Amino acid sequence: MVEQKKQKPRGSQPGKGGIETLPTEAQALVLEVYRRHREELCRFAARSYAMLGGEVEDLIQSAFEKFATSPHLLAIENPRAFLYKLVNNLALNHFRHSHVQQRYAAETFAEAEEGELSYDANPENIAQNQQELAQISTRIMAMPDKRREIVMMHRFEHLSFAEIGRRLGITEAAVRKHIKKALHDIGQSQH
Amino acid sequence: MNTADQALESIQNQAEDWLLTLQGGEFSEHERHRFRSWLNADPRHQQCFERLLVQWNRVPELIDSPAHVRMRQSLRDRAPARILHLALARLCKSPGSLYTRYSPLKLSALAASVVMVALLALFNLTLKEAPTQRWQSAKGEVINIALDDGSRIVLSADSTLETRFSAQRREVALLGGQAYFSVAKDASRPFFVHAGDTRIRVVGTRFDVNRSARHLRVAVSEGVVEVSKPVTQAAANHQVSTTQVTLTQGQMVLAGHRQQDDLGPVLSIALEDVSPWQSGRLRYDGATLAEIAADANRFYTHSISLADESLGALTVTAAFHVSEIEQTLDDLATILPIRIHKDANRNIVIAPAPQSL
Repeated sequence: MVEQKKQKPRGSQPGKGGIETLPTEAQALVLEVYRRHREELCRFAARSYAMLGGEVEDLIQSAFEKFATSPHLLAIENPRAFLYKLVNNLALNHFRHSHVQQRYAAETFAEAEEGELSYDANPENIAQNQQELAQISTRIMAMPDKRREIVMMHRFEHLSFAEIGRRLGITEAAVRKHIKKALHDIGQSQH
Repeated sequence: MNTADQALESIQNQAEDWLLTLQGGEFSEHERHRFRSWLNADPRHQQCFERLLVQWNRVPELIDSPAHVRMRQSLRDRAPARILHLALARLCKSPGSLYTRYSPLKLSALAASVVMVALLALFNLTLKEAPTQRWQSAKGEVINIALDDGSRIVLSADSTLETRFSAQRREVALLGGQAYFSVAKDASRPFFVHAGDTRIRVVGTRFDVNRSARHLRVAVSEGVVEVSKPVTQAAANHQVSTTQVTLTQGQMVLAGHRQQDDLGPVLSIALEDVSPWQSGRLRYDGATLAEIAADANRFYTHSISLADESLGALTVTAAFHVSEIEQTLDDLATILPIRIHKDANRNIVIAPAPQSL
């Protein structure tokens, strides 16, 4: 598996060499998830981490390789959410490499630096992550309707601020104001 | 607030602005450079930005969570009105072009549609002021809803309701099924429950509403509620009058669904019988088989149906847990002239017993 990872296959198949060694059921799952969510994940990574086209392709490819080779593949409850986690971990590493000159110890996601998936490392992490996510969910639910709707369009449909403005009949600047407030709401949630 | 807090808040604010810029689309080389300078100027910048980045980018992990799916569904339900509202805004922006490009005939048709659109836009505005939220439970699923005003609703299995709160009033529509309401007192904002054409007015109280196919049942476990229903009187030239009863603790009323149906008499009910389904128990004293089948159907994951409608009128006294529905129906078959058929998928059909009995 480690050797196959280095091949970094590109194109229309997720982790080509690796997937053939999987049981049929797992293969089908990986291909289905790949077909349905690859594009959405690309848009998410490009938008959320200001990544360039080629970088995005590579990163999503790595995420699917990790997904295909994860030990409890068929037990993963929500593959789509799991892939978002994988993409976030990889993209955060990428972000640090491309923008941060000197690493200071950050409390959050410190483990991700080693390229490891901090989420399912141990039960304690899983519980803590679930709790954090629940907190984020609560914060979103508590937002005024318009702000929440815009957050959903931006974070679930990965629409640009301009596109959201066009769909809602408001200016891009107004959309930015809503997102700024939403960022403030979300950022407060851990204190 | 001390200066350290102020400094942190300022960093938080800068981090928000940078994240906004980073995700806003055009992140120019110049901005990229400025961003890096800011990020690397102070370890607190880095920590604060990364924490925000992680939290914000985790939001899509919620994409398939039931609460958010429901929320998006309720937003989609409002979408058509918004599109018309947008169309109106565009028409108003270019009035000159209307006169030059359209014939008078087309214009009058257009005028009519503008009025239509304006009405819908107005409707949309009132919706905006009081957004509708929809809640739906699956068969066998009971949902606890905590509303912003402090009221709580326990939505029974296979039931749907909508809430719409404005500054003046709190309104809930029970579209189907059953729910138990604990309403927070707020004299300035009365709480209404609509179930078909029957209206229940509340100030602060606890009560149960069951909207079955046959009738509507309102039962009160605490406080006072007012139940009213318009009735069409065939005898008096189809005049519509409103009947109204006031229920207090330990009272219930049944209402038929038809326009000519009056509210029934106010009956006494034991407090533990107001809403026993909340603890999974269903309890009936002289209820009809139709009523019991309708309730059981909502808690039974497969379907329960009556092969012959006349069976629905049989009266039954029974108490059972929602986990014992199959067993209970088998038991009922030993005392009632019915026979229980189960197919391979565990769907249940209640049929008449053979005539020889």
